Amino acid sequence: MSAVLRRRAVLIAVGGLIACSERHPFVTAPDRAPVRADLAAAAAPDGPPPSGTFTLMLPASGNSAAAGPVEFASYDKKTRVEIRVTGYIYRYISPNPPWNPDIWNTLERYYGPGGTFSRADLTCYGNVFVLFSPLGGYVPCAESNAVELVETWVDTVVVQGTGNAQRTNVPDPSSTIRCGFPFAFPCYYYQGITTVTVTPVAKQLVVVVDSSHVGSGSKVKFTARRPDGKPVSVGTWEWHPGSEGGSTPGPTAGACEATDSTCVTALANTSPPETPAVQVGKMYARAIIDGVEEVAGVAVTVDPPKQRKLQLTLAVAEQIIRPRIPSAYFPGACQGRRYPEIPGGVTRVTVEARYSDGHAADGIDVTLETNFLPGSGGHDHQTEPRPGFGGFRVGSGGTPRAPLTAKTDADGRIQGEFVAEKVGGFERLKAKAMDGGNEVSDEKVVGIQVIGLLGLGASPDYVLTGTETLDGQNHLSNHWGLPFVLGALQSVAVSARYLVNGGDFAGPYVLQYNDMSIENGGVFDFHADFEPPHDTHNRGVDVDVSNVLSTSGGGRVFPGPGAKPLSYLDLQDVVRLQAVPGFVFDESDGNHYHVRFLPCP
Amino acid sequence: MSLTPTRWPARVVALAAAVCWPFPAAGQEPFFPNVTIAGSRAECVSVTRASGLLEYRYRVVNPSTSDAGVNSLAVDASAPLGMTPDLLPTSGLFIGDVTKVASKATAGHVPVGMDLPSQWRGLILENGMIRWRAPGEGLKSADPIPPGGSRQDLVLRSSYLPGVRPFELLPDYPHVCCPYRPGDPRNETIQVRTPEDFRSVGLTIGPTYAPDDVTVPLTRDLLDAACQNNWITQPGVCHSLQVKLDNASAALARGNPGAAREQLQALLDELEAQHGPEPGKHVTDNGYWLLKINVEQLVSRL
Repeated sequence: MSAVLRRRAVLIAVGGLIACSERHPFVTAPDRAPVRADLAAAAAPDGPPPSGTFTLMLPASGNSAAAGPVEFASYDKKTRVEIRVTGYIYRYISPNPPWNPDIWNTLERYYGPGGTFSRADLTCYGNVFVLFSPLGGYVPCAESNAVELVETWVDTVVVQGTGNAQRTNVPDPSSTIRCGFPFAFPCYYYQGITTVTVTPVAKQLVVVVDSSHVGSGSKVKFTARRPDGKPVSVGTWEWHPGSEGGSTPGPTAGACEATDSTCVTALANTSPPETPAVQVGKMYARAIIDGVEEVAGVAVTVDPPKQRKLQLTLAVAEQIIRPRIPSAYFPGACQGRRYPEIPGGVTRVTVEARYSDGHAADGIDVTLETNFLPGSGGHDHQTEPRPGFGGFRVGSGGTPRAPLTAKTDADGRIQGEFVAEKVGGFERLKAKAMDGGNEVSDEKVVGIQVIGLLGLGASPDYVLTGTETLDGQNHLSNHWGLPFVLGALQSVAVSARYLVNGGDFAGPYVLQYNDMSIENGGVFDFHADFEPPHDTHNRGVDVDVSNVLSTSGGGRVFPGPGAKPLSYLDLQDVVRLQAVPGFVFDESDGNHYHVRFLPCP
Repeated sequence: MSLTPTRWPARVVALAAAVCWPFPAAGQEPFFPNVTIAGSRAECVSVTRASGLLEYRYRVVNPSTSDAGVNSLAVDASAPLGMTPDLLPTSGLFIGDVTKVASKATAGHVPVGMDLPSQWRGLILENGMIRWRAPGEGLKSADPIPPGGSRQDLVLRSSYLPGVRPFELLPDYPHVCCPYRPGDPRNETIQVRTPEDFRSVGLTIGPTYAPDDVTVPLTRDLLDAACQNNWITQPGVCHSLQVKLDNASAALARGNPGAAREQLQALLDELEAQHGPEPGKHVTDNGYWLLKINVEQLVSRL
């Protein structure tokens, strides 16, 4: 078979193979489906071409000698290769025959590297053949009118199968007319080595994207193209999520089905809100390029939906609640009846957990804690932050405790209560939760205090004492009481001054008012331990009155020799005169009386 | 004023001296010893007119059988709630009138004023009782009426005429509490005793009736009360006085005030004759002044 016929046959065969391969372009096992899954499973559907460069050298053989065929390369599947043939074939070209220019012009003339081809029998002579069997071949002949002498001849074709290279023989001239007429001279001959190199080359299909890093929901344009600029008709566009980062993004609408070379679609990040993560996927295009189905893709990074943040809101219904007032008992007073405990005040506490996108954060662990504000409530001894004293409970029952961790409900809320303990002051309530690795929180300050306490001011009718000792320094503001108590104390002081000075309202001796309540009420921890003994000076109705008198403006007088004592009976009588119910009680430490302005229970 | 030297019973001294109340050792009970002033009494020794008012002078006697001083006398001067007239002329350290404190008053009182011994305190209690109290010194009194002592410089001044009134005497008993530190639960097991637990009560006379309210039947009731209270110690004297008063009543019923006046004057003469201590006399101070003042009021209106 002549070389031309053989080439045509090869091309036909190649075309048939391409048609066949369209059904199974890259799939080695035809029953594996779906294609998308196969692509996803494929290590690199658009990866590099098969590696390897095959080189064959056809030896120099002098004029007209053939070489080969020599098997030198094998490709299991269709592969786009560059075939490079180098080596001169020297030639002699006869003058253009003037007698039949038409025939001349219709002749198919081939020029191999350095060679010249027959123009008489329409056969490529002196050529190098590279044939792949059974699925393809290559005949490095070029049709051209150019009369060029090139050393290297390169073409890119798709081949499959086992390749053979051969160099044809150079037949003797059948007529001297043809070559060197009127002289008998060989038209062509070989000289030197012809090298045939077959090298796989990259695919032709390229997919590009207008933006490779986008936000969730962004529209992205993919374009399939060829390096040579020739049009590409895409068979299918396929989105393949990445295997990293958990869930995968994907087109949210309009996955492209058309055969256009472009695809515009929106990509959405599908990672859960609680654990947002960047996702990476690839868009692949399938297209037939030069008879070969190629797949090419491009990766796109899709950010999570606008990074939403967890937000906590802590709300308290009451800004001020009363401290718990423990039960109190005064032996000998109130017919032995005990003042009942007054439970600590309660305020509703609502925690709302929401993401910045407005969605409720349900099932979130929220920790509620409370911290005591240093120095608040009159507790000057407490200079450092410390845990608060109140407690939380979810709903409206149970024992309050702090810290307390609870989960948000379907609405992202925790409904609970904060219950005050016996210590007055200010407590900073805090709700906190973790958002990723970060803590989010909200705080509210709640006053734990007896409502209505006022400070007893200075007066010439009494001396305020109680801060002179080291223990007294723990609470520098120790004369707080309810308004009616302050009024009563003013009146008591005036009456007492009259009595103890023998009927002189301006006499020198005056009462000494020691501890009453501290600013916010609650336990008056004389020893700075938030515990009694001053368990009763907690609601603005109690006052310690020294059992010795001071002189007006003379400051505190301690019991001792020469100190003028205050009569218990005098104090009892002037207390009795007050509109406010009250009684005097001797406290056993021997230096003061205790007055309580409160009806017996 | 008649005062005997202060002499405290040993038990009370030990108690009262404890300005710093000693913590008891185990088994050292009781914390609050009993005292008694059971035999002490208060009586009105005179009712005199001065500046248009009646001055009731009281004598408090603390018998030697007592083991505590008496540090206060309260005489009932109560009136219907809301009746809180201003204080009449008063001398001494008058503290105030609790009946004027609406939230505490359980009664009003008749118009009164007081004369107080030096350093004694006067107070009108929420129940309308008028109280003289010895001065205090710490938890105890500085000038109580000691056992075996007495004083009669406690004067009540009023425009009201006498009636039968309760009195109350309190011992000088320290107001001590408690044996343990405040908050110690052991305190709650202690039976705290106060002066009120050892008070002495009785009847005397005190201002009770507005002058216009005094009638013969009222006077007859007072006479009967005096007899019942043994302020007229001889039944025959009671009977004699009752007859005279009844005759006066009958005379008035007949429209014969002259005859009534004669009967009342006879009654006054008999009172005068019987006033004094037994055994020779049979009308006590309380009985004498109760009837004398009211009968004189009846006579003055005839």
